Amino acid sequence: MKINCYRHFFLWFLAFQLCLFAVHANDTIVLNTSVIHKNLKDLSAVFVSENEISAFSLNSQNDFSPVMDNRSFFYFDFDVVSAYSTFSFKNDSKAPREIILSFSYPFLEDAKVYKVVNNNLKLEGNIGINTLKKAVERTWKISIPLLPNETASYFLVFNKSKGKPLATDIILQDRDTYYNTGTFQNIAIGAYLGLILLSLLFTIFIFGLIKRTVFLLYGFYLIVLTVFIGAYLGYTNVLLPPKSLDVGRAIYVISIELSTAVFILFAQQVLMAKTYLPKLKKSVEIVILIQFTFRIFLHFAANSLYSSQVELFMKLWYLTILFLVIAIIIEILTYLKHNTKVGSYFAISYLFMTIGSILLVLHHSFGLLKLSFYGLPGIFYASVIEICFLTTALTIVVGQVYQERNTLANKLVLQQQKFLNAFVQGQEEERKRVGGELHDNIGSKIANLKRLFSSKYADAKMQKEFDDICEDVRTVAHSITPAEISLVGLSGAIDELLETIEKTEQLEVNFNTFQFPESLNEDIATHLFRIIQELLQNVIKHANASMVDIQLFGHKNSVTLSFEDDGQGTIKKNDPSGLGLRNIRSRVTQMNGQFLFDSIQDKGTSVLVIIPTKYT
Amino acid sequence: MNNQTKRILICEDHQIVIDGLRSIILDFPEFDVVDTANNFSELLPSLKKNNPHILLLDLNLPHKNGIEILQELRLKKNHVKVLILTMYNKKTIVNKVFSEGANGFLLKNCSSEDLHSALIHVSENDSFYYGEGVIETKKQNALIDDEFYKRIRLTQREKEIIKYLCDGKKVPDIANTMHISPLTVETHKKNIYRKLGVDSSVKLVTFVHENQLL
Repeated sequence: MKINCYRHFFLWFLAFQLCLFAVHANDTIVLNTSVIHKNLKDLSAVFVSENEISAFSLNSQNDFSPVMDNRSFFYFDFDVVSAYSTFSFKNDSKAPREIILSFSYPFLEDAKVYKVVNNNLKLEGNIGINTLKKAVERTWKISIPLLPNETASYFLVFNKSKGKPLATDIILQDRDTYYNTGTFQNIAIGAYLGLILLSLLFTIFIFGLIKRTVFLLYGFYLIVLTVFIGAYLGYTNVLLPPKSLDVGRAIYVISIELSTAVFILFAQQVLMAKTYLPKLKKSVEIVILIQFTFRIFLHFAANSLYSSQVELFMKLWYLTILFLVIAIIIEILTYLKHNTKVGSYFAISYLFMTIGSILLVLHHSFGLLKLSFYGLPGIFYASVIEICFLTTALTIVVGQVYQERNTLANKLVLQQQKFLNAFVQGQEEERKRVGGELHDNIGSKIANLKRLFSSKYADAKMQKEFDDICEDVRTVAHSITPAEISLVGLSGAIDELLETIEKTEQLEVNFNTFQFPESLNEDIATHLFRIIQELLQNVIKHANASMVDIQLFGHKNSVTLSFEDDGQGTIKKNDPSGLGLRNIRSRVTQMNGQFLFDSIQDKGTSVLVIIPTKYT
Repeated sequence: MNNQTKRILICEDHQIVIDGLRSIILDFPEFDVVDTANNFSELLPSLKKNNPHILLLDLNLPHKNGIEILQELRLKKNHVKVLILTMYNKKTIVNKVFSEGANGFLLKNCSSEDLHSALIHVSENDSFYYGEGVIETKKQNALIDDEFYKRIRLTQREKEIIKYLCDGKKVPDIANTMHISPLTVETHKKNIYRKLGVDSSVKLVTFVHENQLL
C-alpha cells in the first residue's frame, strides 16, 4: 500500500514537472497571485558572448549567441565573458508590486538589470563585487518595482572574467516571500553556527583532557570550514568594506582549499591511515600539498598563465580531487573493517562531506546539478550532517579511550595489590618456616649436642659456648618470627616486643588492651603484631617521639588497634618511600580491614586499624 | 620395676631430642621413661595407659601447642606433674605456663644436672621449678591496683575527642574541626566508650565529670 502511494506521488510529481516545462521561455511573467516564487531560468532565454562588451545596448544584442541548456540555473562556461537574459513582467493586480531577483552565488563580478523604456535601456539595478561601492546584504539582490497594470521588458546583463565558470540560481520573489525565505535561512545559519561553536568548545575541552593533536586538528578544521561556508554563503560581502569585496573571493578560495586540505589531513589521523595504509597516507599528503600550493599560486600569482591554460589546469585539479576522493573512500573502508561501530559514524560523515564537495565542484565547474534547498547550498546541509556525525564519533572515541584507561589503571592497581599481598604473605610464611626451623630443629639439636658432650667432658667453658649458641639461635629465631603469639597470644607477644624496645630506645610505650579477645585468629594476630612492629620502627626512625600509646580494643564485630605517638607527625600519608606503610596497608587489606592514618604537624601521628572479626 | 621409680612420659616432636633425653634419664636410677609421644593425639592414650608421675612437655608441637595441652589436661582434672621443656626463654611464657598450672620450666639447653634436679624437685615439691637461666617472675599483684588508673588513661587524641563530645558536638562536626575523617572520629569514640565502659554520650559526660578526666 505504502509503496503504491509513493508511486502515485511520483507520477503526479512528474506530471507537475512537465507542466512547468511547458511554460515557454521568454514568455511574459504575469504577476497575478500574491505569492511569487519562480526560477528565472525557467522563464527566460540566455545569450552569451566570448568578447567583452563595454556597454550593453539594444544594438549589441547581435554580438551574443543563444545557448540552449536545460539546466535549472544560470551557467556560463569558462570562456564566456558577457551574457544576458531577457524577460518581461506584467502586473495584473491593481496595486504596485516589488519583485526581488536574488542570486545564490555571492561572488558575482558584475550584473546589471535594464528596463526597456521607449526603445531605450534604463538601468534598474547594478550589483557585483567589481562595481558595487557600498555594503550589501549576504546575497545579491536587485529589486524591480512595478506600477499597477504595468507591463515591462528587462535585460539582465552579466560581465565576468575569463577562466572562471559562473553558476548561480536567480529566484524571482515578491517582497514578502523573499523576506520569509531570508528568515528561514538566518535561522538555519544561526543553528549551524551554534552547532559549530558547540563542537569547537567540546573539542577544545576534550583536547584539554586528553592531549591528542587530532582534536586540535578537528577544531582547526571546524574553524576553516566555518570560514569557507561563511564565505560561500556570502558573509564576506557583509563583513568586508565594499572596496575590498574582491578579498572576499580570495578568502573563499583560500578557505575552500584549506578546509579541503585540513579535512583530508584530519581524516588521515582519525581513520588511522598511518597504521592501516601508510603508503596511501603519504601520497595523499603529497597530493594535497601540491594541490594547495598550486591552486593558491595560480589564483593569486599567475592568473594569466591560469587563464591561458584553463582546460589543462582544471583537468589536473579534477584528477587530484578524484584521487583524493578514492583514497578517502579506501581509507574509510579499511577503517570500517577494523572498527565497525565508530567507523560507521566516520564513514557517514565523510561520505556526506565528500558527496557535498563533489557536487559543489560539479556545480560550479560544469554546471551540473543544482543542489540547494531554501536558497542554501547543498554543501551547507552536507557539512551540518558531517559535523554532527564527526562530533558524535569523536565523543565515542573519547569514551573508548577513557574506558581503556580506566580498566588499565584498575588492572594495574589490582595487580599491584595482588603483588604486595602475595609478597607479604610469602614473607610471613617464609619467616615462619625459617624461624620455626631455627628454633625447633636446630636449637633442639644443639641443646642435645651440649648434653651429649657434657655427659662425657665436664668442661664449663664448652658448656658456656653451647649456651651462647643456643641463646643466639633463640634471639635470631625470635627476631624472625614471633612464635610466641600462638603460645601467649598477641598481647603477650607485644609485651615481649616492648620489653626489648624499652631496653634499647628512649621511648615510653604504654600498651593496654580493652576486652581484646584472647583467642584471636592467629593470622590476624600475626598481622597486627607485624603492623605494630612496623609502626614502632617508623616512630623510632622518623617521628622523634618520646611516648607511644598502643591500645587494642575488642568490639562486637571487630577489633581495633589504636597507635598514637607524640612525635613531629611528618610521616606523609602517601610517602612513596614508605614501604612500611604500604606493607601495613597490604596487611590491612588482606584482613578486609580499614587503615586510618592522620598525622598533624607537631601534634603526632594517630593510626587506627579496624579489623572485622566474624568469630569473636 | 622398682616402686620408687617415677614414671616419665616425654611429649616432644623431635626424635633426636627424645633420644637424647632418654639416654640421659637412663643414668638416673630413680626415673624411668615409660613412653614418648610426638603430639597431643598420641599423648592422651599414653597418659591413660601409663599414668606417669611426670610429663616432660615441649611447647612447640604440631596441631596443639604445649600450653593448650596443659590447659586441656588441667581442665580434665589430670594432675600429672608437668615439666615444661622448651627453647623459649620469655617472661610472658613462663608467666603463662605458671598460671596454667605447670610445675616447672626447663630450657632445652639445660645440663643433665639441671634436668635431674628438676625431676626430683617436681616429683617431691609442689612449688614451681625454675631451670637454669629461666627468668623468674612472680605474678605482679601491683598491676591490679593500677587497673582503674590504667582503665581511664586517655591518649592525647582521645582527650581531644572527649572534649568535643562533652561539648555536645556531633561526629561529622568533630571530624571537620580536627581535619580527620568521620570514620576516624567514630572509631575513637567507639574505643573511648569501650575503654570507659559507657554506652551513651550522657554516661560519658557523667563519667568524665565524676573522675575529672579532663
